[in-house]
Amino acid sequence: MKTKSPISGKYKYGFHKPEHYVFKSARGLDIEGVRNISLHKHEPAWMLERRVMAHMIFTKKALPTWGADLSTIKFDDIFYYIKPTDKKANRWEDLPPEIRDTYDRIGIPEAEKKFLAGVSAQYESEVVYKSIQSSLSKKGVIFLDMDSGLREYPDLVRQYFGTVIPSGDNKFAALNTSVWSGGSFVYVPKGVHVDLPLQAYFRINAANMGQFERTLIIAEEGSYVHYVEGCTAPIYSTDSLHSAVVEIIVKKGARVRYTTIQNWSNNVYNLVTKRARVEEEGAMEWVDGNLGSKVTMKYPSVYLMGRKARGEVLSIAYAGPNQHQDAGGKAVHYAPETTSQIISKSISRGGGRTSYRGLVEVFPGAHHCKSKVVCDALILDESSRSDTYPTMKIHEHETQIEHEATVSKIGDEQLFYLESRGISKPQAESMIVNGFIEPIVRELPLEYAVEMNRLIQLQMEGSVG
Amino acid sequence: MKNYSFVCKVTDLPPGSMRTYVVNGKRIALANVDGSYFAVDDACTHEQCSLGSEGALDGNVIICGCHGAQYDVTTGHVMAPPAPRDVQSYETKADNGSVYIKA
Amino acid sequence: MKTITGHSVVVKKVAGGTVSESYAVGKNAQLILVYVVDGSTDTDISPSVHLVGVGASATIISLISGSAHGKIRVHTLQHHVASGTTSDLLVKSVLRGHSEALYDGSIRVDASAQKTDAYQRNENLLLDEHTHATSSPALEILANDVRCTHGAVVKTLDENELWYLCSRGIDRDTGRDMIASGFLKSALTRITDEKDRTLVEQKISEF
Repeated sequence: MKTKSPISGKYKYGFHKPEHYVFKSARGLDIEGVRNISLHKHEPAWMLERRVMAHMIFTKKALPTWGADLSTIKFDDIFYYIKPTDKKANRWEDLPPEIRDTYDRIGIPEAEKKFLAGVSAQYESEVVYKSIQSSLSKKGVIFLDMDSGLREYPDLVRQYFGTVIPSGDNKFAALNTSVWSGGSFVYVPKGVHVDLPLQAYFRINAANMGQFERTLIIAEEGSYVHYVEGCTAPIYSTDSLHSAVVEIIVKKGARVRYTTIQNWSNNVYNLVTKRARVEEEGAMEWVDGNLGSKVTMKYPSVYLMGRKARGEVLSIAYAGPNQHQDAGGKAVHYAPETTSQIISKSISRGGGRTSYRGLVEVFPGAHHCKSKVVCDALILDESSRSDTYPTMKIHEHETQIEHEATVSKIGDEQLFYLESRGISKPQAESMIVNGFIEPIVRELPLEYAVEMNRLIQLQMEGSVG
Repeated sequence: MKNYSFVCKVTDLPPGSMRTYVVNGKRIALANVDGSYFAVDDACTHEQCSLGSEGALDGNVIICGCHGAQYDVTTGHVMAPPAPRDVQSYETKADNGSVYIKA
Repeated sequence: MKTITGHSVVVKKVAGGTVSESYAVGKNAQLILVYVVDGSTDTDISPSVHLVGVGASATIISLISGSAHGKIRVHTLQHHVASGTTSDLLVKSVLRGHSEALYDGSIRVDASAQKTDAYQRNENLLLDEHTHATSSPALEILANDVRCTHGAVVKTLDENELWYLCSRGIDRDTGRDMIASGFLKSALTRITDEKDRTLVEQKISEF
């Protein structure tokens, strides 16, 4: 039963409000449901076909037999596509007190707080947004939400959509391909350097932090872009399953950095497939921070397809009570002289469990390639757990592949030294933990780094969840 | 018909379908693309999943059922990762209601 | 399951076939377990060591020479049950011809095994073009007052090392053999007690 509301506006810089349907699908997912999603969005026929095929693959594929426990996900109990364009505004007072407190103590600016809490329907910086879009479009850079990207640049999207992560890749890639909505579309022309990090919350019309976001980033030869998503503040979500797909194409000599800080509330299953295809002399850097959610399974990957391509994954995982962070990275070397590096730092506390899971694979012909993986894990107390599950599959003899991992607790000597300087134990522990993750935190944009440090401090002092 | 081995009857494999057969001890995937027959090695070069029995045929593209790797069934060329290499392609012949391959 | 209560040094030569054994190491007991593998044919080795007594320790070393079409599988378990236990595992392989080494193993530290010190390392030297190595060392740690490290390396011969030997008048093939042999033998330095190490070297030379 749908009612059509006649609100539709078009902003100057391609900032659409899609047709305003209040549409509540039935729970669960069938082919009709998938078709309806595509129809409501007025998508080209080829996208509908992809969604339908992906749905068939989703129903046939099994859940992974490894990783976190996904047995309690009730696929038939989820609304796969609902949101009306103007969300019902929440009241600030209705938010759980811990979340309000955290926002205050981390130091999130007032306007951002309200936006993140869903209190205001729009981030109150439209002026900023417009001036950013103007400078981008002068350079020929496209930065839109994915729905608008498909609508305005269908041929460009069709050329690349699903080429890095086909729907057959895994059950959740198939799910996302069938019901995706929202996410970002970024295109950077040849030789263009985008100096300012593109932030997900600048594209404010589509449902931010949606359940099944689909992001596609194309960096032409010699270009550079840094994309940032998520935030350190805990995001309260009633949606229990988040399954995003991010595909990135890095052409010859281009460089892309993709930073994510995820802090979903503790009821969320966060299952993400992220992969970059890197051509000759290109470089891809994933900076991945996993702080929230009940379960996260995420392994940012790089396929090094061209000679001298480079890939890097920097990963931080923090698991508190009742959390399981199953994260890591994959580097697959298809071409010679390619290099990869995966650095993972994880912390488990209060019964939390962190698992590093990674793959380095070198195919025949990828001679003279190098890879180094370093995983360090801190277990802070007796009830917590830490695992490391790396795999190396090397089919080319002229290579240099290394992996090291260490699991330990905070050193007694370090603690003693700080305590002897009058610093309390919880404070000392949080200083040490912040020092432990510093090599990765320093790669974050400044405001994220500051928020991250404060958040860790709060978590360690037991003031937050 | 020297060097050619029998695979199946023409009626066994309608257009748009693909199946795994064992010929002379080799596992091959045989596809019918609009009435023309094409044969490639059955094992995907990524993790050796069976293309003929676990994969799908979309036009002339084989899609591996395990991780979505793609090949051109007419040549065996790999079109999309994670497969690192082409699969071997074999000549085929349809004669007198039967399909033969040179393997 | 074999129980170790005192000081035990076990050295085995394996050439083809399957060897699967379990050891339970008791209080303050020490086990040194060394496998020397001739990997010219398919070989499977699965040692499991359970450190069940307080203060137990185990050193497990595997020296593998792969050749021809040999497929050598090594599957290990270092299971720490009691507190104050130590384990040290090193699996090294040199692969020639069309041989392949597959290593997978775990260090598992139960919640009761505080003050565990565990080490696991797999090193593979691929000499020839058609050799392959797969390595999946795993850590599953449920106690927090521990130190657990693991590492894995897959690489080919260092040309600088070879050049050095050639410049001393040693031909290339002999040079490669010397480096490979040195690579394997150095694993024995993990045995810290000199008497034990000498005993092991002696047993190996008798094969």
